[in-house]
Amino acid sequence: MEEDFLNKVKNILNPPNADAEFGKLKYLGWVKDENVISEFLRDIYNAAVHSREQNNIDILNDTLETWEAKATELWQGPHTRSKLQEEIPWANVTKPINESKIALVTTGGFYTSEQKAFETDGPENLGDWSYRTIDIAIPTSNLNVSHIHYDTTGPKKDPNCVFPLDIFKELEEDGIIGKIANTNYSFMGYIQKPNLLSETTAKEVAQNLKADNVDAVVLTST
Amino acid sequence: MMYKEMAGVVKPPRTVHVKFPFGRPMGEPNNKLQQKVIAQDALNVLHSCNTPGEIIELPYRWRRENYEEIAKGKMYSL
Repeated sequence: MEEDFLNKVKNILNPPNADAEFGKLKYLGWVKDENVISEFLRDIYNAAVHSREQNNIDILNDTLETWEAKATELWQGPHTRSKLQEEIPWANVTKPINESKIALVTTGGFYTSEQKAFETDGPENLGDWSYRTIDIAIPTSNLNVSHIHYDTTGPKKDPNCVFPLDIFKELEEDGIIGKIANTNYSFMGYIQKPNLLSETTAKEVAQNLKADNVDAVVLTST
Repeated sequence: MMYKEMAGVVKPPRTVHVKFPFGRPMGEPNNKLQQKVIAQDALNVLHSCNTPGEIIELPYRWRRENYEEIAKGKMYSL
């Protein structure tokens, strides 16, 4: 009976096809701790009551965001399977931003209509550690997304919410950055053995960025 | 731009964390003003952050901020 009840709760908190609206709250569906679930129900119930009584939806919103952060902490996500890095790469920034050449690198799974889509699950479910070069001259409306491990409805409407090429073009025009690089890079973040990436394609992209005299890279993950 | 639990493991030199849903690290689709604020916040970290591995958490609440006011307050390009 208890297991049945927990499964019912799981389906409520993480419904099938839960999209971005459910945010990170849906990870509560994977938490099998009755105390945590009870605490969540108590907080959300109280917040709903107080929101109504005070005619202030912020009370409910604040509670949802607090629980979103808790859910992410409790979530056994990819970070629990990733190798802990001991060394942190570091380079001092020596130029002002408005004189710097900035490149964008994303793990959002973007590719142009002329390029091959990513293999979303890849060989033996290892993912795909290849990358696509995205020329700054390509309109973002020509970008496609292949990634089945995050909700892509946002970037399909507007790639800039993940891969902000148009935004950085504007920042160049506004004089905020010196220049956006002509070549930017897109990976697809579902890679089950990170060393396949770090020992091959990530190195290659880092070398390309250096050869292109890029001063700083903005990495956007999903 | 990365969620902080992942940043704590893979340790990029500088990380900016936002309290936004996955799949929208720069903000809402077609909300150019919001995306420009987030981009400028991220660029500022290049100079403001001097500790390797530092994670900066941006305070913005999902769908509840006025980015025009924020941009003006921070003297950002709109």
